[in-house]
Amino acid sequence: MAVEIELDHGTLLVRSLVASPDLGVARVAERVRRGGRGTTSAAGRVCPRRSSDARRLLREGLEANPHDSHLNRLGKLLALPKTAKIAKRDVDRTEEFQWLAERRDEYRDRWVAVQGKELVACAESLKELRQILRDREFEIPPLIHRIE
Amino acid sequence: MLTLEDRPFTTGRCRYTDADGRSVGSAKICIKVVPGEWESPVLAVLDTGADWSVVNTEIAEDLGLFGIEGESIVLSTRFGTIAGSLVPAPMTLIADEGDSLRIDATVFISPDWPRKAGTFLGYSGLLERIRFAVDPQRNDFFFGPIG
Repeated sequence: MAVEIELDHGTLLVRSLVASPDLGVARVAERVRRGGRGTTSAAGRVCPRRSSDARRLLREGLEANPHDSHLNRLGKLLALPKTAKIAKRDVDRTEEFQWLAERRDEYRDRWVAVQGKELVACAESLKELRQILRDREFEIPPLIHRIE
Repeated sequence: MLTLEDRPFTTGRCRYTDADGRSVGSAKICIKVVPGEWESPVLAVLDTGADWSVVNTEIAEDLGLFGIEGESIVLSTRFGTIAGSLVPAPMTLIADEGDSLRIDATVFISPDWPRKAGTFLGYSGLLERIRFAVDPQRNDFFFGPIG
């Protein structure tokens, strides 16, 4: 789908690249450097390769405009995600998976909480289900899922 | 855990399901993730072809993600073109064995994302920063941090 993107400062140029993989990187980079204005059309789809291109452009943009709030927010959103190993662990949920496979027809369009081979709770909305679960204590938290 | 050239490649393992109660007959890999600070895991579809991860609308509401100032984008999905926002969201790949992995991910949310639609783990903002491998014989999903 083609989208019109208004280009005014580097900020929106970077935004346009994030949303527009077909936009030439070199062309956008040049416009970022010039802080040019204009409009362009491009396919409104994102692809990972362009995310890395966008990061590179962001670095350039932030070097030129280090205090630009929009660029800084984009920088955080497009940064490679931080990861951390944690000791928390779950149990094998094979029984819950089996329950979902066997009982799904009975609970279509509902949220379910399943522990082992048993249904712990079900509700029309996640909010309702979470409220039900808040009033109960579990040694092993149930698996939550919405059955389509 | 898996090793590559005598070094750890992944540090955690969990069992996944390919029958999550959604569309019948379609092959998919549904792994367990813990959204935000939840205790319970939910199922999310591993989708390496998706540009961004998409969080189920009700889960996004529960996490308060719609109150975060994000970046507006338009995403092409199987439900059509949907306008929404990229926002930060912590997600934990929860391990049955080894270490779980908390990821400060960037995800797509939209009030227009059908409420019945699930959560998808896409490449940008999440999968691009982890190592992972699948053993379809045992339905095992292996994962770990890069470096």
